[in-house]
Amino acid sequence: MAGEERNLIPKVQIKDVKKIYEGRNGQTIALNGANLDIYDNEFICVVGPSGCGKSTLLNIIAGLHEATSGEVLVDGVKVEGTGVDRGVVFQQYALFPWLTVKKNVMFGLNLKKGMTDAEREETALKYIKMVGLEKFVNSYPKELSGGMKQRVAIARAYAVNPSLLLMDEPFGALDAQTRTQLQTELLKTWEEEKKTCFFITHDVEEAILLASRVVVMSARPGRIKEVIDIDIPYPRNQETKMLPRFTELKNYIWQNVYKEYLEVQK
Amino acid sequence: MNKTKKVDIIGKIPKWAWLCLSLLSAVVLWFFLSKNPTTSLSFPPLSEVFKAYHTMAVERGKFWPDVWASMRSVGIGFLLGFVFGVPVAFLMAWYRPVRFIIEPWIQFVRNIPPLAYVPLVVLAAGVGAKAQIVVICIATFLTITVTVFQGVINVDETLIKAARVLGANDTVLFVKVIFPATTPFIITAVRLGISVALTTLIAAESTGAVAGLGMRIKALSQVFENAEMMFYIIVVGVIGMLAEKVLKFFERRLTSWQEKREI
Ligand SMILES: Nc1ncnc2c1ncn2[C@@H]1O[C@H](COP(=O)(O)OP(=O)(O)OP(=O)(O)O)[C@@H](O)[C@H]1O
Ligand SMILES: [Mg+2]
Repeated sequence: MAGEERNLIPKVQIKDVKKIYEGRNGQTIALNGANLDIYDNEFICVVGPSGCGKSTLLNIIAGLHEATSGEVLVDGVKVEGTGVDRGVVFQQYALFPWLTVKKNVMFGLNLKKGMTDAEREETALKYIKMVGLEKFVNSYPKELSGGMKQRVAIARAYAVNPSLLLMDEPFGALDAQTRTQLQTELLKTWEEEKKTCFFITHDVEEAILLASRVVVMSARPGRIKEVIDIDIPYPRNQETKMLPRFTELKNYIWQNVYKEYLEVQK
Repeated sequence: MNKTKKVDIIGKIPKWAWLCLSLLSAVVLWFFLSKNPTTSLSFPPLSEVFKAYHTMAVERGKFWPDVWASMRSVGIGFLLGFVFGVPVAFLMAWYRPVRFIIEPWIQFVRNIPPLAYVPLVVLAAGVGAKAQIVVICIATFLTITVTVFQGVINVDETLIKAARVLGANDTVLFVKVIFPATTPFIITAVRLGISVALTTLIAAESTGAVAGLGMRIKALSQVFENAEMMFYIIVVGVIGMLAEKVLKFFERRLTSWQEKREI
């Protein structure tokens, strides 16, 4: 079966990844041997206490940082530097303030070969539409709200069609309502246009709502403590949060994460 | 609450009205300074200052050649300073060894008054326009390099990361991200550079210039022609203000994307 075959070759293999930062006050062991396999079209959410190395891991997968030892394979190929097969959405939006919404979304497309300008524009508009910003095509980032900026960032990441989408607390800076809205939109998009997602969050509810598996990381030095299957079928929406199973999972993961928070306090 | 109300009234008065008010207050202040016995020598009556234009431009035929000579030195000196300063700033930000070697030099020379190194310049470049241009070029180069360098190293790290993950190589990163992100600083550098070029005029023209605003101010002061001197000083100030206005106009067009605080 295709599914089984797919399971044989993970989309992402994180193999004993260690990361040590050399700082002025000595070394920081940010990751101490992380191991994880992520399969095609999975939605992985990573939770864990602040400073446990979540962003570090994401940056290593993205190719923005180098692992001190160990390696990450994407589609069986070792990650060395960034690549357009891996899109990233940052918490701070990271839109180019001198470009309009459309030009921002076209940034990556313009660097792609074998596309005509018309195709690039068409693709950009398609994804701007997907995030519901067709009225703001020619606006500058400063004219947008935080939620709208993050929508542009998501459209920009999607436009270059990466097979793996890495998101570092993308909704962390947004208010609760906008957050809920964007979660629902992201779920819908992911169901329409399947991509493997690696999503970092502080919010356990958000993690369960989105993820097919939740990864709990332990306090520094970061390791992967537990991986929990979220056995609630898709499509999900905000009402999924009312399910008894949701509450059950939430309590379980919360306790798990809470132990790690306490670990940090010590 | 009281404050917002006040701000409202202040905001309702148009910009040009404020400018008129500012000018009017300056005239009034000048009037008192010219009547006050201790300051009257430095501040001749405004009517005499206006007459000085006639004396200098029409009777002596010096004014326009002076303006032309100075603008030429300022223009060429500034342009050279800019042409050297911007690439050096980018090189310093891009290659750390370049930075570690050049930055101390810049910090060292920057705090020396131009008047102090003028004799050295004259020794190398001779008296005349060349020396003036070199002095202005040095001063603007330093200011522009420091300002643009600050801009480049302040480019938001996440923008660079975002560009990289979208497939940008070093060239694209530089042309499409670092350079546009630095434009506000480049414009500020131009403004500061022009200002420095003008304030260096007297030093530059003490290299034995035969004409020029700075040279003339010094010459007039030595023969106590205060009204004429004051007229020249005002001209330098006005030139600076005009340059500033022109740049503000370009700044608005080029950096309208920036988030600005309403002041
Ligand atoms: N560039 C760096 N230089 C030195 N130390 C760093 C660097 N980046 C991260 N660290 C350290 O590595 C550890 C892990 O950082 P990381 O940003 O990965 O944590 P995180 O789990 O993403 O935290 P948060 O939830 O607060 O975003 C922290 O202790 C941090 O201080
Ligand atoms: Mg983080």
